[in-house]
Amino acid sequence: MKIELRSPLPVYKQIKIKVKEAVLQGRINLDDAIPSIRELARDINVNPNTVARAYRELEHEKIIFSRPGVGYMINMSREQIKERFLKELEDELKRPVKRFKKAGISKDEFDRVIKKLWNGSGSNIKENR
Amino acid sequence: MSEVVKIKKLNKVYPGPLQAVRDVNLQIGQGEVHALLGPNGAGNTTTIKSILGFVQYSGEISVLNSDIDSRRGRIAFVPEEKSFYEFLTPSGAITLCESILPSFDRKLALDYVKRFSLPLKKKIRDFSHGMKTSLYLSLTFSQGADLYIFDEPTWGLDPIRRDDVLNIIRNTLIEGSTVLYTSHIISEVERIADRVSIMMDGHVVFTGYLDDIKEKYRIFYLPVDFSHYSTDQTEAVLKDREKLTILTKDTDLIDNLGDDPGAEMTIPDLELFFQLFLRGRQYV
Repeated sequence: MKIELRSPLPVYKQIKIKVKEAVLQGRINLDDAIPSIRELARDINVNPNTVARAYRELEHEKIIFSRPGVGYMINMSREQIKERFLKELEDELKRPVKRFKKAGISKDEFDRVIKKLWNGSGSNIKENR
Repeated sequence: MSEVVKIKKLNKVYPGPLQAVRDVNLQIGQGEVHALLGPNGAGNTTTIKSILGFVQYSGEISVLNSDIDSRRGRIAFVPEEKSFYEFLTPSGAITLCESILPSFDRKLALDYVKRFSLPLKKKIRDFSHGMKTSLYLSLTFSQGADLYIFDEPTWGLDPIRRDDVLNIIRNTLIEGSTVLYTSHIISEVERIADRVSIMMDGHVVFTGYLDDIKEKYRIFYLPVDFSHYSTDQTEAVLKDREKLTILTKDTDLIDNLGDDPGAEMTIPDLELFFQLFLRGRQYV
């Protein structure tokens, strides 16, 4: 897991995303154990309180759960996590879609831009939230 | 979260105009790393000296729910200037600490000394500044304290030792201690702090979680003549010949400016945030 301290995205959010991505990409599965707060904090060189915050929110969102004596485990299947991602995508696109629709951009034109981004210039997109 | 340090209406006036602390309120929670940032003379060191009872002050300060004098044994402090018994060796210093500090962990101290590659049997007077600092920190980190207070802990250390110190601070936290420290090095603060307080001219002008800065605050770069905002919506405003820079957490203003094609938005990192706070507050 690689954390960017300088990223506009708060560190605890980066951790949350990485955990979800790991499930989505099939690297960890439902009921698998994930590193403890201390282990992960040491591993990725961040403050344990930050990891704790990320885990607390993931637990609240029912993505992980803690089993006493065992530690934190994944509580959601890949499909369920994917649903979450799609919902997030929808939330993030809401604003730009609304704005460009209002400005007179058609759905086809919007699709064309998405396609262009999808097919290549992806690495140029900066995370900005 | 219970509070390890509580400061209410701290005031400290020195003869002369500088280094005063005015109406400082500050709370440091159990298990957090709290960084005090500010330019020289902003009052950081005075605040720390007041917590430690090294200077007279007015106001209320409680440490671990009591006054400092009854809690001294549970606090470890590293001053900016470190003085030593120069005739001792690290080995002798460890033995001395063991005899006067009840919860001193000899084995841990030896571990740290090894980690910093310090010679055990060499006289401290022959040490470089960096070696002295690492030894001082080794002895401090072995005290098993509940609260660690540092004034510029990594000053004068080479990058490798600095990295070691930051890692040790973080591990100290994992063991459940609380850390309050001052620093000028923003990139370090970004790595280990949970919360930061910014001091300016004796006042605490900001206290908040690092992650909340990225989440709640936005910076907008606007044309110089832009005027569709009120000052109570902004935290800092900076105007130069080419542009107007606004730091804000006002959600209405963020929404409005976010849709404005003439406004360029960025999410502040600590460096930008700090700079804007320091230079842009006089206009607010």
